[in-house]
Amino acid sequence: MTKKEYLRELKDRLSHLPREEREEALKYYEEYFEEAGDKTVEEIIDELGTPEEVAEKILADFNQEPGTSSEYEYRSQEVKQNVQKKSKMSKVLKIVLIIFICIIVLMVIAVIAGFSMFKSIAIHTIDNVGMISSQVIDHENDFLEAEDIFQKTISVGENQDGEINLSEKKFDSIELSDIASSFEVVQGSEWKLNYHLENPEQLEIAVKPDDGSNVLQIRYPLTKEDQDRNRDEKIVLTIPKENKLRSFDIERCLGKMNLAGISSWEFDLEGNLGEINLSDLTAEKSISISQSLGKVDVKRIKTANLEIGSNVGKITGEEISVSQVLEIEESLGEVELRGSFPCNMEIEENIGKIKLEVTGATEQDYNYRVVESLGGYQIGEFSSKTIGSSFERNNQSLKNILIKGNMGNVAISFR
Amino acid sequence: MAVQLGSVLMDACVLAVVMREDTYGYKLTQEVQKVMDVSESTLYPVLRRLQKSGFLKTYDCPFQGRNRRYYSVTEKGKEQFCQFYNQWELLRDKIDDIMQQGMLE
Repeated sequence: MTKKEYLRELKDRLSHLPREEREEALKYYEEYFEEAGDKTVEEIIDELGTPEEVAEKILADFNQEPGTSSEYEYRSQEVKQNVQKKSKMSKVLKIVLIIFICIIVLMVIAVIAGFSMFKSIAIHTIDNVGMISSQVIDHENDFLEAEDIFQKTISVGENQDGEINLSEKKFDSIELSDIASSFEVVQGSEWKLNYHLENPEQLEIAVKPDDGSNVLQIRYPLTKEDQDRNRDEKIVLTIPKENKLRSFDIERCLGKMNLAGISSWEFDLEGNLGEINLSDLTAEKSISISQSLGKVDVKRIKTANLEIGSNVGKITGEEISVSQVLEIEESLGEVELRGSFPCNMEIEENIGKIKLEVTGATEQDYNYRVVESLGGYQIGEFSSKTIGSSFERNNQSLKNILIKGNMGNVAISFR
Repeated sequence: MAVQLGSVLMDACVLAVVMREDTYGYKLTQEVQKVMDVSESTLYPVLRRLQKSGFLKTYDCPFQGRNRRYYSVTEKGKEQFCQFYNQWELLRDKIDDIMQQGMLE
């Protein structure tokens, strides 16, 4: 087990906790791992216990607390109160409004923080031109474990176009971060990287061994002089056909991202500024798209969980298949998805309009609960435009749709 | 160690460590583990409980490009610790008595 897997499992096991509680706990354990530095995961597990044990203790402690019931109970109490005492409604709405204002403020802060982080990275890069490997070690704790950091062979200022053959290595995970150019991931015959870049010397490629497998890390950070950087800059990563990855992370990238025909246990896209196009992706566990500023377009993806959270740009999707949970939360822009969703759906605290077209199912295939919605909603034939009205229907199904605290309209139709 | 600490004693011990100086989760665990065999998995709930009760507060301090969360005892926490300490002294004396009488037999 790697540290990342440990934290992921813990996160999954704590999924019943309210978000704030869960994040606090995860932050604590993340910090613990960082402080533990060069200790192996096994040593840390000896100290901490397995994720299962840790989660059990946290959940037990949480449930013991007087006055704290589980989130589910809490929610249903809310619903009852809404129905029974209409006078309380204005209070609930006030709280929802406050939550929304907080979300907006937080998102603005997140974007600003993202930019300043970018700047500091950029300055760091300039100070260390020509010392890429030591800079990499300085920059992130993760790299301390690296035994094998290789630099591309192209020297500074030369060939703006190039190809790097990566076929000697076998990669299980890919981490892209701070990439200022556009980036494309395609299927091919072998691992390779092609690029057309103004400053190829700033392209950083590292291979990080992680529990017997390799992680491919790629960065191409923005520098001080890059105000008028060429828009044609492009990096293309080719992954062999039928190669199955464990994780694919894309963080804080500036340019346009295109991913096509890739299969990974999970995909995690966070804090990207440019347009994102995903097509023909398969994920056994999850695809998560969060804090994107640009437009996101998704086509033909198959996943157990699809998480769409805190995005600013419009999100569109076609031929999507989700088997366990579809989560759409805190979106500022519109979200429009079409596909097959034989799963639970949670649509919460969105500001933009949400439109879902469900294929291969009828209204009767789900149970519904709509609470605290400021926008209108439409579920099949049933619709309401009354602010704050709640609606509950139990169709004895195993699949639930929860629509809670949304400001924009939510429309779900069935074909 | 075969003797298990109850949650009240555990709370008292963690408060005691933080009374000495503000400290962060990892260091705290190492300190506490020097004295007793406590799996770290029980320490987070303790810290959370103490924080919720208003005995501990936290603040973040930048360290090597990230944040370290420090725990610090509040005034209320100091009072609570004094109470804990008095109760502990009483309990300790009584248990000492019982144990020593057993040894004499």
